[in-house]
Amino acid sequence: MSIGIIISVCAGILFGFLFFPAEIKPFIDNASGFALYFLILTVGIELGNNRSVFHRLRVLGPKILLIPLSIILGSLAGGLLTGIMLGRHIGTSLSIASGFGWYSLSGIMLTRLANAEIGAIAFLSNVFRELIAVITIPLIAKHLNFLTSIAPAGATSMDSTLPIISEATNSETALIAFINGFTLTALVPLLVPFFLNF
Amino acid sequence: MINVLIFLFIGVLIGSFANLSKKTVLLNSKLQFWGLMLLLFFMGSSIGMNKSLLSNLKTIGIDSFAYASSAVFFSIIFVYGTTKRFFKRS
Repeated sequence: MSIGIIISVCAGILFGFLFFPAEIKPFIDNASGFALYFLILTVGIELGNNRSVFHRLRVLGPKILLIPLSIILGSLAGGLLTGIMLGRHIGTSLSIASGFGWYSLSGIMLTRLANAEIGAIAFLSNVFRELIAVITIPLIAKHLNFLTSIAPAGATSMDSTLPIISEATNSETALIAFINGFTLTALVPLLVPFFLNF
Repeated sequence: MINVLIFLFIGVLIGSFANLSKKTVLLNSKLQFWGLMLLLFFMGSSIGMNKSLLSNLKTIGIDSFAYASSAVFFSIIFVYGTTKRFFKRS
Protein backbone atom coordinates (compact mmCIF):
# COMPACT_ATOMS: atom_id res chain seq x y z
CA MET A 1 0.00 0.00 0.00
CA SER A 2 2.82 2.45 0.89
CA ILE A 3 4.33 1.94 -2.57
CA GLY A 4 1.02 2.77 -4.23
CA ILE A 5 0.74 5.92 -2.12
CA ILE A 6 4.23 7.14 -2.97
CA ILE A 7 3.75 6.41 -6.68
CA SER A 8 0.39 8.24 -6.76
CA VAL A 9 1.70 11.35 -4.99
CA CYS A 10 4.92 11.50 -7.05
CA ALA A 11 3.07 10.92 -10.33
CA GLY A 12 0.66 13.69 -9.33
CA ILE A 13 3.46 16.15 -8.55
CA LEU A 14 5.21 15.30 -11.84
CA PHE A 15 2.04 15.60 -13.94
CA GLY A 16 1.07 18.81 -12.16
CA PHE A 17 4.49 20.31 -12.74
CA LEU A 18 5.09 19.18 -16.31
CA PHE A 19 1.75 18.73 -18.05
CA PHE A 20 -1.20 20.37 -16.31
CA PRO A 21 -1.82 24.00 -17.34
CA ALA A 22 -2.82 26.45 -14.60
CA GLU A 23 -6.33 26.76 -16.10
CA ILE A 24 -7.33 23.26 -15.00
CA LYS A 25 -6.61 24.02 -11.32
CA PRO A 26 -10.36 24.47 -10.55
CA PHE A 27 -11.04 21.12 -12.22
CA ILE A 28 -8.34 19.43 -10.12
CA ASP A 29 -9.78 21.02 -6.96
CA ASN A 30 -13.28 19.82 -7.85
CA ALA A 31 -12.05 16.35 -8.76
CA SER A 32 -10.09 15.93 -5.54
CA GLY A 33 -13.09 17.18 -3.56
CA PHE A 34 -15.26 14.61 -5.31
CA ALA A 35 -12.69 11.83 -4.70
CA LEU A 36 -12.47 12.80 -1.02
CA TYR A 37 -16.26 12.73 -0.47
CA PHE A 38 -16.50 9.43 -2.27
CA LEU A 39 -13.79 7.99 -0.02
CA ILE A 40 -15.41 9.35 3.13
CA LEU A 41 -18.64 7.67 2.01
CA THR A 42 -16.86 4.29 1.69
CA VAL A 43 -15.28 4.79 5.13
CA GLY A 44 -18.77 5.50 6.51
CA ILE A 45 -20.21 2.37 4.90
CA GLU A 46 -17.43 0.33 6.49
CA LEU A 47 -18.10 1.89 9.88
CA GLY A 48 -21.86 1.38 9.68
CA ASN A 49 -21.42 -2.21 8.57
CA ASN A 50 -19.32 -2.90 11.65
CA ARG A 51 -21.63 -2.20 14.57
CA SER A 52 -19.33 -3.41 17.34
CA VAL A 53 -17.17 -0.35 16.66
CA PHE A 54 -19.65 2.01 18.28
CA HIS A 55 -19.93 -0.30 21.29
CA ARG A 56 -16.14 -0.38 21.71
CA LEU A 57 -16.07 3.39 21.44
CA ARG A 58 -18.53 3.68 24.33
CA VAL A 59 -16.32 1.38 26.40
CA LEU A 60 -13.24 3.50 25.71
CA GLY A 61 -15.14 6.73 26.46
CA PRO A 62 -13.34 10.02 27.09
CA LYS A 63 -10.01 8.16 27.16
CA ILE A 64 -10.03 8.64 23.38
CA LEU A 65 -9.23 12.33 23.89
CA LEU A 66 -5.79 11.31 25.18
CA ILE A 67 -4.85 10.72 21.52
CA PRO A 68 -5.38 14.34 20.33
CA LEU A 69 -3.85 15.57 23.60
CA SER A 70 -0.70 13.51 22.94
CA ILE A 71 -0.54 14.80 19.36
CA ILE A 72 -0.82 18.40 20.59
CA LEU A 73 1.96 17.91 23.16
CA GLY A 74 4.13 16.00 20.66
CA SER A 75 3.69 18.62 17.92
CA LEU A 76 4.49 21.46 20.33
CA ALA A 77 7.57 19.62 21.63
CA GLY A 78 8.73 19.18 18.03
CA GLY A 79 8.04 22.83 17.20
CA LEU A 80 9.85 24.04 20.32
CA LEU A 81 12.93 21.95 19.65
CA THR A 82 13.11 22.92 15.98
CA GLY A 83 12.63 26.59 16.91
CA ILE A 84 15.56 26.43 19.32
CA MET A 85 17.74 24.60 16.80
CA LEU A 86 16.96 27.04 13.96
CA GLY A 87 17.21 30.07 16.25
CA ARG A 88 13.65 31.11 15.45
CA HIS A 89 11.21 32.84 17.81
CA ILE A 90 9.72 30.25 20.19
CA GLY A 91 6.12 31.52 20.05
CA THR A 92 6.20 31.56 16.26
CA SER A 93 7.60 28.04 16.21
CA LEU A 94 4.81 26.80 18.47
CA SER A 95 2.25 28.53 16.21
CA ILE A 96 3.67 26.81 13.13
CA ALA A 97 3.52 23.45 14.93
CA SER A 98 -0.11 24.16 15.96
CA GLY A 99 -1.21 23.85 12.33
CA PHE A 100 -1.32 20.06 12.91
CA GLY A 101 -1.21 19.55 9.12
CA TRP A 102 -4.04 21.96 8.24
CA TYR A 103 -1.84 23.94 5.86
CA SER A 104 -4.40 26.20 4.23
CA LEU A 105 -5.69 27.70 7.46
CA SER A 106 -2.40 27.92 9.38
CA GLY A 107 -0.66 29.38 6.32
CA ILE A 108 -3.30 32.07 5.82
CA MET A 109 -3.55 32.90 9.54
CA LEU A 110 0.19 33.32 10.01
CA THR A 111 0.59 35.33 6.81
CA ARG A 112 -1.89 37.78 8.29
CA LEU A 113 -0.87 37.64 11.97
CA ALA A 114 2.91 37.41 11.48
CA ASN A 115 4.37 37.91 7.98
CA ALA A 116 4.58 36.32 4.54
CA GLU A 117 7.70 34.28 5.35
CA ILE A 118 6.23 32.76 8.52
CA GLY A 119 2.99 32.13 6.64
CA ALA A 120 4.88 30.34 3.87
CA ILE A 121 6.80 28.23 6.40
CA ALA A 122 3.55 27.34 8.18
CA PHE A 123 1.96 26.43 4.87
CA LEU A 124 4.89 24.40 3.59
CA SER A 125 5.66 22.63 6.87
CA ASN A 126 2.04 21.54 7.16
CA VAL A 127 2.05 20.35 3.54
CA PHE A 128 5.15 18.33 4.47
CA ARG A 129 3.35 17.02 7.54
CA GLU A 130 0.52 15.73 5.39
CA LEU A 131 2.97 14.13 2.93
CA ILE A 132 4.98 12.51 5.74
CA ALA A 133 1.68 11.26 7.22
CA VAL A 134 0.57 9.77 3.91
CA ILE A 135 3.81 7.79 3.67
CA THR A 136 4.26 6.81 7.33
CA ILE A 137 0.68 5.87 8.34
CA PRO A 138 0.78 2.37 6.76
CA LEU A 139 4.29 1.75 8.16
CA ILE A 140 3.32 2.78 11.70
CA ALA A 141 0.13 0.70 11.57
CA LYS A 142 2.22 -2.30 10.58
CA HIS A 143 5.20 -1.91 12.90
CA LEU A 144 3.99 0.01 16.01
CA ASN A 145 0.22 -0.11 16.52
CA PHE A 146 -3.02 1.06 14.91
CA LEU A 147 -3.72 4.04 17.19
CA THR A 148 -0.19 5.44 16.78
CA SER A 149 -0.77 5.64 13.01
CA ILE A 150 -3.12 8.58 13.74
CA ALA A 151 -0.20 10.58 15.21
CA PRO A 152 1.45 11.95 12.04
CA ALA A 153 -1.92 12.85 10.49
CA GLY A 154 -2.87 15.43 13.12
CA ALA A 155 -5.90 17.47 12.06
CA THR A 156 -5.99 15.80 8.64
CA SER A 157 -7.14 12.52 10.21
CA MET A 158 -10.76 13.65 9.77
CA ASP A 159 -10.52 14.11 5.99
CA SER A 160 -7.56 13.74 3.63
CA THR A 161 -5.67 11.04 5.54
CA LEU A 162 -8.74 9.31 7.03
CA PRO A 163 -9.07 6.92 4.05
CA ILE A 164 -5.40 5.92 4.46
CA ILE A 165 -5.85 5.23 8.17
CA SER A 166 -9.02 3.30 7.39
CA GLU A 167 -7.20 1.20 4.75
CA ALA A 168 -4.19 0.53 6.95
CA THR A 169 -6.04 -0.23 10.23
CA ASN A 170 -9.64 -1.10 11.19
CA SER A 171 -13.02 0.61 11.57
CA GLU A 172 -12.50 1.36 15.25
CA THR A 173 -9.24 3.18 14.60
CA ALA A 174 -10.84 5.04 11.68
CA LEU A 175 -13.60 6.31 13.96
CA ILE A 176 -11.10 7.39 16.64
CA ALA A 177 -9.06 9.06 13.86
CA PHE A 178 -12.13 11.01 12.80
CA ILE A 179 -12.80 12.19 16.37
CA ASN A 180 -9.11 13.08 16.71
CA GLY A 181 -9.09 15.10 13.47
CA PHE A 182 -12.28 16.87 14.45
CA THR A 183 -10.86 17.86 17.86
CA LEU A 184 -7.55 19.10 16.43
CA THR A 185 -9.26 20.94 13.55
CA ALA A 186 -11.37 22.83 16.08
CA LEU A 187 -8.25 23.79 18.05
CA VAL A 188 -6.07 25.06 15.15
CA PRO A 189 -7.77 28.51 14.89
CA LEU A 190 -7.41 28.93 18.67
CA LEU A 191 -3.85 27.68 19.23
CA VAL A 192 -2.15 29.33 16.23
CA PRO A 193 -2.83 32.93 17.42
CA PHE A 194 -2.49 31.93 21.10
CA PHE A 195 1.16 30.82 20.82
CA LEU A 196 2.17 33.65 18.53
CA ASN A 197 2.18 36.06 21.48
CA PHE A 198 4.49 33.92 23.63
CA MET B 1 -15.71 20.47 6.80
CA ILE B 2 -19.46 20.02 7.17
CA ASN B 3 -19.55 18.08 3.88
CA VAL B 4 -17.17 15.47 5.25
CA LEU B 5 -19.49 14.98 8.21
CA ILE B 6 -22.53 14.64 5.92
CA PHE B 7 -20.89 12.04 3.65
CA LEU B 8 -19.60 10.07 6.62
CA PHE B 9 -23.08 10.07 8.15
CA ILE B 10 -24.73 8.93 4.89
CA GLY B 11 -22.13 6.14 4.63
CA VAL B 12 -22.79 5.00 8.20
CA LEU B 13 -26.55 4.95 7.48
CA ILE B 14 -26.03 2.86 4.32
CA GLY B 15 -23.62 0.53 6.12
CA SER B 16 -25.89 -0.08 9.09
CA PHE B 17 -29.33 -0.28 7.44
CA ALA B 18 -28.69 -1.82 4.03
CA ASN B 19 -27.99 -5.52 4.41
CA LEU B 20 -24.69 -5.62 2.55
CA SER B 21 -23.33 -8.92 1.25
CA LYS B 22 -19.70 -9.88 1.81
CA LYS B 23 -19.10 -9.20 -1.89
CA THR B 24 -20.41 -5.64 -1.63
CA VAL B 25 -18.26 -4.96 1.44
CA LEU B 26 -15.22 -6.25 -0.44
CA LEU B 27 -16.09 -4.09 -3.44
CA ASN B 28 -16.45 -1.13 -1.07
CA SER B 29 -12.91 -1.58 0.25
CA LYS B 30 -11.55 -2.05 -3.29
CA LEU B 31 -13.23 1.19 -4.39
CA GLN B 32 -11.76 2.82 -1.29
CA PHE B 33 -8.25 1.81 -2.30
CA TRP B 34 -8.49 3.05 -5.91
CA GLY B 35 -10.33 6.20 -4.89
CA LEU B 36 -7.50 6.86 -2.46
CA MET B 37 -4.87 6.51 -5.17
CA LEU B 38 -6.85 8.96 -7.30
CA LEU B 39 -7.14 11.46 -4.44
CA LEU B 40 -3.40 11.28 -3.77
CA PHE B 41 -2.69 11.85 -7.45
CA PHE B 42 -4.83 15.01 -7.38
CA MET B 43 -3.19 16.09 -4.13
CA GLY B 44 0.25 15.69 -5.73
CA SER B 45 -0.77 17.56 -8.88
CA SER B 46 -2.01 20.58 -6.94
CA ILE B 47 1.42 20.69 -5.27
CA GLY B 48 3.15 20.29 -8.66
CA MET B 49 1.03 23.04 -10.20
CA ASN B 50 1.75 25.49 -7.38
CA LYS B 51 4.80 27.18 -8.89
CA SER B 52 5.17 29.77 -6.12
CA LEU B 53 5.27 26.99 -3.53
CA LEU B 54 7.95 25.19 -5.53
CA SER B 55 10.07 28.34 -5.88
CA ASN B 56 9.77 28.99 -2.13
CA LEU B 57 11.03 25.47 -1.57
CA LYS B 58 14.65 26.51 -1.99
CA THR B 59 14.61 29.26 0.61
CA ILE B 60 12.35 27.97 3.35
CA GLY B 61 12.13 24.29 2.43
CA ILE B 62 14.66 22.99 4.95
CA ASP B 63 13.19 24.93 7.89
CA SER B 64 9.70 23.80 6.93
CA PHE B 65 10.77 20.21 6.63
CA ALA B 66 12.49 20.41 10.04
CA TYR B 67 9.28 21.69 11.66
CA ALA B 68 7.18 19.03 9.96
CA SER B 69 9.41 16.05 10.70
CA SER B 70 10.03 16.96 14.34
CA ALA B 71 6.31 17.56 14.99
CA VAL B 72 5.51 14.20 13.41
CA PHE B 73 8.34 12.44 15.25
CA PHE B 74 7.31 13.65 18.71
CA SER B 75 3.61 13.10 17.99
CA ILE B 76 4.41 9.48 17.21
CA ILE B 77 6.50 9.08 20.40
CA PHE B 78 3.83 10.70 22.61
CA VAL B 79 0.90 8.79 21.10
CA TYR B 80 2.82 5.52 21.20
CA GLY B 81 3.59 6.11 24.90
CA THR B 82 -0.08 6.91 25.55
CA THR B 83 -1.30 3.76 23.81
CA LYS B 84 1.17 1.62 25.74
CA ARG B 85 0.14 3.19 29.05
CA PHE B 86 -3.64 3.65 28.63
CA PHE B 87 -4.83 1.48 25.72
CA LYS B 88 -3.35 -1.92 26.53
CA ARG B 89 -5.91 -3.87 24.50
CA SER B 90 -5.66 -1.80 21.30
